[in-house]
Amino acid sequence: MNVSSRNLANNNLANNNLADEQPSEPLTVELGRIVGEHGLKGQVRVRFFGESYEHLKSCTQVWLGERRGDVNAKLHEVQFVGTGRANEARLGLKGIADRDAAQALRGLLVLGSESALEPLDDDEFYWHQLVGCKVETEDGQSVGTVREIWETGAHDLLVVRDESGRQNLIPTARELTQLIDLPGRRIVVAALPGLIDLGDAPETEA
Amino acid sequence: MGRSLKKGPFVDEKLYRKVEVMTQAGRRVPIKTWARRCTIVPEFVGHTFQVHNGRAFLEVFVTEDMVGHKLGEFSMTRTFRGHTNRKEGIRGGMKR
Repeated sequence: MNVSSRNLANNNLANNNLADEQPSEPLTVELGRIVGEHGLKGQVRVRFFGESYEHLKSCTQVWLGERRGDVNAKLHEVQFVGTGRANEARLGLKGIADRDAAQALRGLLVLGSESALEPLDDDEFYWHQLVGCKVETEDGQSVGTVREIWETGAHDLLVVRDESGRQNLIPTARELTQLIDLPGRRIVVAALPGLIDLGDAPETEA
Repeated sequence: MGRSLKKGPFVDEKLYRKVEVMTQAGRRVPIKTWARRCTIVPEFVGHTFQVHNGRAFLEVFVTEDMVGHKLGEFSMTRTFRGHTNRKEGIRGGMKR
């Protein structure tokens, strides 16, 4: 984004009464990212990060920031939410009235707090809840910390790294993931031989 | 066009034998394999495979729902990162 377009965005924010609002809860959840503009009336295209944009539909206000937990995120009033391209929604924001202003928002994240997300079943978790959890085996041996999650066609993989940088990929199947203790930020996994490399694991090839 | 039914599913013979030996011995050590084209047969259920994606080996724990698919379907060749509000279902079978 060039400087002039950023200034344009700031001017638009200045006209918006909500621009100086501070979030009451930490903005720990990325709901989507503004990937472009739509039309001439200031609508933006948002690539949503959930399975649908239902959570965006129910929002009357959204925070736009550059990163998760951004304390400088700006609050915008939502005027319109509509269907967009695949995995995208169209968003109309108050104070963003033309294409140039919408273009200036490109790249910003649509942020929200935990309360913006729908409640889940007992055996379901949001990815951001798992990232950062300590992983250990049933006998208490530390495997590392969940750094990220990779989506595969089957069970998603917990990418677990320890202090030395050793990486383990652990499928999130019930047979392997024995316990997820969210308040304790702890995940207990089955110590299947060869699955978890604690330094001297045997391997077999085919 | 799909594979002719006359031929039956393609199963990597070497991999299949390895699984058989392991099942008989009651062992469940992850098996490293490059055989992405190998169909998952019921005998594979409960075993863990490390399937090569062209760069690294990704762990694939086989469950009943995966029978009939190919191993390569579960070892993504492109990694997408950044979804923090995706739901993670820790279930016995496949997610979603």
